[in-house]
Amino acid sequence: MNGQYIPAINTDNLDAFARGVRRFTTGIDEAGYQAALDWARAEVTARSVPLLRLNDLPRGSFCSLSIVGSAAALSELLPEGNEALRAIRTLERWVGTEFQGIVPLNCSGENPLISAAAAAASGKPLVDGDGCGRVLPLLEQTTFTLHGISVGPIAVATPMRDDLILDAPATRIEELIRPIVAAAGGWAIVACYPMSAEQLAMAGLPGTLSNALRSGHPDFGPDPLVSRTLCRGTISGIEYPIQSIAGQPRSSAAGTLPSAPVSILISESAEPRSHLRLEAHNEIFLALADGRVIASAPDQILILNPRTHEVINLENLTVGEPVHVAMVPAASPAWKTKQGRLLMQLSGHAVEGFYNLSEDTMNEGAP
Amino acid sequence: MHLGIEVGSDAITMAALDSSGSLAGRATMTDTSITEGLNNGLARLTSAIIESVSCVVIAIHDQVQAGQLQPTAVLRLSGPAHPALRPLAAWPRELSARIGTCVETIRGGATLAGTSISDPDLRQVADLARRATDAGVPRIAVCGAGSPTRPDLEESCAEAITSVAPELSITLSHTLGGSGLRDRENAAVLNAALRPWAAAFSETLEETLKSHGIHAPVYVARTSGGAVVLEHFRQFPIVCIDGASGCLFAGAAHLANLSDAVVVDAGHDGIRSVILESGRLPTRPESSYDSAIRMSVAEVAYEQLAWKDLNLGPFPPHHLGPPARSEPRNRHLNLAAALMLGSFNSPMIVVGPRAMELAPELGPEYALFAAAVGAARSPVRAELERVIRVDETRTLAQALAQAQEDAVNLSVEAGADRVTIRIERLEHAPMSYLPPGFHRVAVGAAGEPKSARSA
Repeated sequence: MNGQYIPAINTDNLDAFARGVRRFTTGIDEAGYQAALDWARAEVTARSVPLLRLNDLPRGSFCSLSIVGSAAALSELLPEGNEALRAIRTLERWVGTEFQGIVPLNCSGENPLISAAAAAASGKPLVDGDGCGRVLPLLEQTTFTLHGISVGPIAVATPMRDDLILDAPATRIEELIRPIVAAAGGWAIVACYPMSAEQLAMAGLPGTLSNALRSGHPDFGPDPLVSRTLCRGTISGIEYPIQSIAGQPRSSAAGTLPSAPVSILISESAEPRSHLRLEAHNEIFLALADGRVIASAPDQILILNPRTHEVINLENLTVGEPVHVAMVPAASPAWKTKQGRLLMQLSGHAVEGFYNLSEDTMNEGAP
Repeated sequence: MHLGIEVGSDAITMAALDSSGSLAGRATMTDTSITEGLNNGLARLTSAIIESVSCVVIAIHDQVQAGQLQPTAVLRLSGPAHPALRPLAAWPRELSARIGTCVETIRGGATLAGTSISDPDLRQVADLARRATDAGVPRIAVCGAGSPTRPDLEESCAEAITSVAPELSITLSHTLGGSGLRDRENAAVLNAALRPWAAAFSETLEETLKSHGIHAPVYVARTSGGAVVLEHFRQFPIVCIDGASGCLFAGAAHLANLSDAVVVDAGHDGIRSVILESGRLPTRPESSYDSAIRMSVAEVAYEQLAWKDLNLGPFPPHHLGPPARSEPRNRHLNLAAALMLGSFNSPMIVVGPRAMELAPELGPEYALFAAAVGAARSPVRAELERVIRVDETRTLAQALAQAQEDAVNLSVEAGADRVTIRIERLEHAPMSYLPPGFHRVAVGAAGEPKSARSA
């Protein structure tokens, strides 16, 4: 079964799919992930989910699906199971068309599992692709946006049974949606990026779900995920800015970002015994070794458990903990274009100077 | 003298450590019952040792079988959930059948930010308690959504239950801690269902020890390391169902006088291994019961691999050839291979029943007594996890100070001598996607067991 076409997500490959998508995360809440997996398992057992290739889409409209908020909140305020369907139906009613399929916003952690559950429950196929190639913190940080497709209108379905439509400029969406998520208990499902099959075929990143499947089990083909070790060491410090410690509102510079910035200091355990400094805000966007940049977004910087090689959630780091730091190349060249980097800056404002310094190395070609 | 006793399914081993930590006496028995094994083992220790025992620590493994789960009523306080996510839905049928059918979700609980989902109907709670009593189920587990932030919601349910059924034994999920409603609920249900076993086990222990003239305080090792006093174990048996693993690794380090080492437990069926750094055993925040039910009970984070999957050739290790090339994702095999080849910088200690085959130079105490030694050396430990909110009325420093004080008090309840308690671990992090000011806090506190003299 080396790298062959994978026609469906079903009970035979769901576990491999689940293992694969967790390898694309920047951190995982185990209880939230298991809840999403059990939800998906129940739905996929009842009905398998056809996978549509991006170059073979039927005519018609599609939408993207995503969880917004935290998986930790989902594991506490469990889904009733109809949230994704409600979001899809609400958006269908608003735009006046029935979607021919669902494309996950990203291919990481809970999101593709929930998309698979929604596809099974709705009887719609799932598109073998996504808009990130990994996971990014803001709804508009997608290759769909890079191709001029608007994130809105957005349908929001909360676990409190609220259904909302946000029909607003893309630049307002995050600011509007975060308070809604907080009021809804910390998570919600959104259906967004209503688009035509042609738009999706042009803007989506192809094959990312089947890649995840291959990453989850060698039976489905060679592992597509390559990484480079940046450091093996021990966490020597974790620093939060004073406003997040004091519980003050996040600075306006941070905009509506859903998490607090954090700096992680790591002492390398072997020669050259460098001191690493990782800067994170939702994701790790910069790695410095003794003051020298060794990796930065849009490449993905991950902190791994050295025993299990699982990604460690940034909220669960502890001083004295042994870790590996690895870098996974950006999922798509689109993220290394000027437009891609500018879009990435929305969640990494602190690295703006670095981006500017590096601009001469950018690929200027638009996607 | 501290007496450590490892209680396994096929053997009981004992190790007595003097005040310097030296092994003063040891015994191992392979009797069929715990009582018989304890009696015969204690009879083998000298009267001088017996008379000077000031503290006993029991380390359990392979004792908690499915048959020990007793029927338990289950109350979930939350909104409605997908059928696959309802109480006990992910349990194997034979285990959920043991818990019974007195299982109900009542609308209530809170979000992680503490906002109430709705006020629970306490009449419904009382009705469930009455039904449990009528059905002859004398225990109940209560798990509320958001209880790491709002433990008061579970406590109000407990009051409602006690008002109509004061005889019901109640486990509240927030007292066990952990994030994730289902994992915390599973831990609470299992805890409640194991209390009868814990009570019977405790009674056997106390009677047997007293019959040999040992009146010292008795502790039980926790699955995540450390120990709790027997009365605490009766209330929270779920945190002690595999205390022997942590004791084994800690005991090996003590016997070898090392605080940084790779410890390998060479068992009959396979190996388990752990990397000990600065004397600290790694832990993970969740574990599973019967390899089937996820629960928010921390355990020592060891790796394991069956011998049949190792493919490393015959013993002893210096005869091993290079391991079969493995897929990078096969972490178990990689780790095992790396351990067997000694490729870590740290020294390696081999313990367990097959230790003598792997490393005969280490001596038989490593093969048989490491867990009992580790038990005898166990501090008393308590863990606290909660979600706190920092605002204009309370600074983070104040909230953390309160959490540390609460952890110290928990340690005292767990049987620690207050003057010896230290904060071992204090972790906090702002929580994503919640309003500013919410932090996840975890505190670990440990102290010396109250000895017979100080108790």
